[in-house]
Amino acid sequence: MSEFTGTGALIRLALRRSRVALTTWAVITVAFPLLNAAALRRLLATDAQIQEFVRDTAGNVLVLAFHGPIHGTTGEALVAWRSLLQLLFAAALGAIFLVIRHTRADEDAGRRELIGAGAVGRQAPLAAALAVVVGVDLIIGVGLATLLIGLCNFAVEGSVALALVVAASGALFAGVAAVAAQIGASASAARRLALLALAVAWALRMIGHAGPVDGALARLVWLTPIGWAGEVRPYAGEQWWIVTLFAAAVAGLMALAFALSARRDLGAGLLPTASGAATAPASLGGVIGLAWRLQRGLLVGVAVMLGLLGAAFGWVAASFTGLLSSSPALAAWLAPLREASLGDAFLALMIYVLVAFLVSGHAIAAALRSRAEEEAGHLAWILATPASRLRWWSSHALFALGGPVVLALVIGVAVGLTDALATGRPDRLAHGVGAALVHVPATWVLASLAMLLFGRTPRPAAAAAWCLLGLFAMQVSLWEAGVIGRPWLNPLAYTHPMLAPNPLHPLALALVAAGLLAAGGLAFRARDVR
Amino acid sequence: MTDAIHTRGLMKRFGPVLALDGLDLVVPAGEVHGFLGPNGAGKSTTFRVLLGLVRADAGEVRLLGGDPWREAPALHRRLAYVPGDVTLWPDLSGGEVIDLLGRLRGGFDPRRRAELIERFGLDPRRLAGTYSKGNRQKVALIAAFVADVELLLLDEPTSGLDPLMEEVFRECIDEARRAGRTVLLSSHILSEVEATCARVSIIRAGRIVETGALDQLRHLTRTTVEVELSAPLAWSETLPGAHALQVDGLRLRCEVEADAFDPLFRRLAPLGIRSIAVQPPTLEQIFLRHYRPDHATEAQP
Repeated sequence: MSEFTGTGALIRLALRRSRVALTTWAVITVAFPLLNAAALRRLLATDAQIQEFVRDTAGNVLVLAFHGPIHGTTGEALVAWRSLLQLLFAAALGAIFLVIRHTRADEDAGRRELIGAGAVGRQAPLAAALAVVVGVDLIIGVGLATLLIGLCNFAVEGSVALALVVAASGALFAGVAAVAAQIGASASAARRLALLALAVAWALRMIGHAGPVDGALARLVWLTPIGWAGEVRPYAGEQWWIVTLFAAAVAGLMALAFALSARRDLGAGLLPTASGAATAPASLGGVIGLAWRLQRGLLVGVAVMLGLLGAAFGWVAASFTGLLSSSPALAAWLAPLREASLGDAFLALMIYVLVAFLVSGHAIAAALRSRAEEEAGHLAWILATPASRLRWWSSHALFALGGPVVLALVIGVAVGLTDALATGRPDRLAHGVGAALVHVPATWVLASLAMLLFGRTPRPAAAAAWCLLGLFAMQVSLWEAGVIGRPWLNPLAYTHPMLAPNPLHPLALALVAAGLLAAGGLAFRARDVR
Repeated sequence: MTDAIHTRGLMKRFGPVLALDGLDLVVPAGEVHGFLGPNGAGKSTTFRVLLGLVRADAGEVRLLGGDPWREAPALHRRLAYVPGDVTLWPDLSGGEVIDLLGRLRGGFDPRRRAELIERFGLDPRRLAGTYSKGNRQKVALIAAFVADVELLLLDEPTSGLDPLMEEVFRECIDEARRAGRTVLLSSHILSEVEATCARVSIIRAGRIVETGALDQLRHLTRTTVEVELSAPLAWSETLPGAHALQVDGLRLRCEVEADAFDPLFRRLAPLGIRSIAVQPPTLEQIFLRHYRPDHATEAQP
């Protein structure tokens, strides 16, 4: 077993290096069903309300596509049904990022070489990364089952089944990431591959559940681990045999990763690296050209993803023809949209979710690119040329603020166009674009906060910015669930469709963003650069 | 002639670490100046202050007659910099990085670019993520030498280069000198500094402990002398001006201060000198003189 010599030491190293990330991952993942349990207990207090909700949902293609069919009609089954997608995404994303961080990213940074020169077998780094991630997965599973049984008084079998599915999905996507780390030519290529696999797995399940239950498309559900997870049916007649599908897939993926890792050279991928241009194109002529070059991949990728999602929503919404007022619970919740059709109300909500959460995430990622440039040592090199600090800083602020405008337009056009085509109401296009753009100033506030954090306190900027978005998103979801009142210090809580539209809100948010941005630029001009 | 670089009493503290502790560095225009010191002595911090990336806590700094913190963009038009730890954008090719930096500096001569790429043997098409350390260093050097500037700030520019490329690097420094450019070259490869620099400054714990022409510095350091005598030295004899004296029969070896040859040889000549070997101090010895732990007591015989 000399191939695995040193695995133990590397496991300790990985635990030390990623202790914060691992803990955060575990806590966030476990938090989802607990928050959902609290929210659903308030929203669906009586059995009659639960039955009504299940009946409403059975006819709602959009919810079915997202969450799959509801199998049980108890409160705990609803919590499991509602939490599953969040749990799977949390488990899968954490596993993907952490496995690649401890395998391919180490190789790219040259740390793998340093370690490989020690008394360490060639498979040890991969084995250590998988051991750590799968180990934390199991801890998440045990914690989840314990809390659901102990804190929520949920049935033991269902809680164990849900925990098993989550841990198994984490392990499965750890395996996907391990394989991607061998195939991709760099950490970012490997990450893209693994995320693509997750997106495809999710999309297959969505398509499978969007059609009739016994239709040909429904079989797609069985092609994807996210589909299997839904079929385990926690608290609703658990299908334990499906867990063996996960076990087989995990074993297969890990064996494949080790086999690939044994066959390839350090630093090389299986996919060839393209060669670049010998001279720079005219567009790469200054700091803005460089920022575009660094940001365009992310922007285009996110635009395609959001465009497809928006188009899917727009198309599907046309089938909800009833009026919102026919569902008193929903109408009370979305009071300003009381007169709208169910489909229009759902689109208003979906556009909000896409722009306020996903586009805000992009805005933060784009803003933090500046910090990555500083950490990598590129900034010092650029600033040693006649490029001024403010000019460089503005080039990244430009994409942090301009990106959301582009993405909101993409979402608005995608939703509006498909909606207009499906409903035959041409005015829905302009309506979609307007509804998307109204949330943009809120994303600007987040982008500007990230730029201010980078300008003032660069070291914790990335962690702080993401935590802020997480906090704001959690506040909004608790506010939506009626657990807390309206959070006033939250930029995402001013253009929500629950509120009557007020043109002063986006305007004020834009002014706040401008102020934060100016403060960030001034702080950056005055500080030392790494 | 004005000074290209002039600092007085520079102080910079990073948290608990005092990186610069009253740094006085003077480099006259047109000079190739060696900047010596081990890791952590403050070389890179000095470069950062000179580039206006970091603001000194106290002291004065003038670069090309301007204030590097306030006038960074204007001054940077007249200089090129090679960072100590060259990292490139992994998705850009080497050629693209060279062009980008050249354009940021306001343009360059494409023939000069082609010539340097040829001389350094760089494949400009490869993506920077696939370059070795030496190749990344080449990209940074080409980007610096392609620029038509007055001042080159080079922070350990040859780390990772093979001996052939180091030769090309020395040629490029020679060309820069002939073109009247000022060069500040930090290094701990002493032979490289000896071969390229007229004057050196030695930094220790954030301050310059020695600065001057190499010849002048040699003068300050003891020369090693080996003598073979015709008659043995008396037992308890002390020799004037001789340090670290070792006697082995008729052979003796000692270190001599530059101004102490005369009394020493007057004393030895009567015994009959058969052969003599004099070894002037290397830069290494000059350097180590400031870094040996017993530096404080070393002046005593």
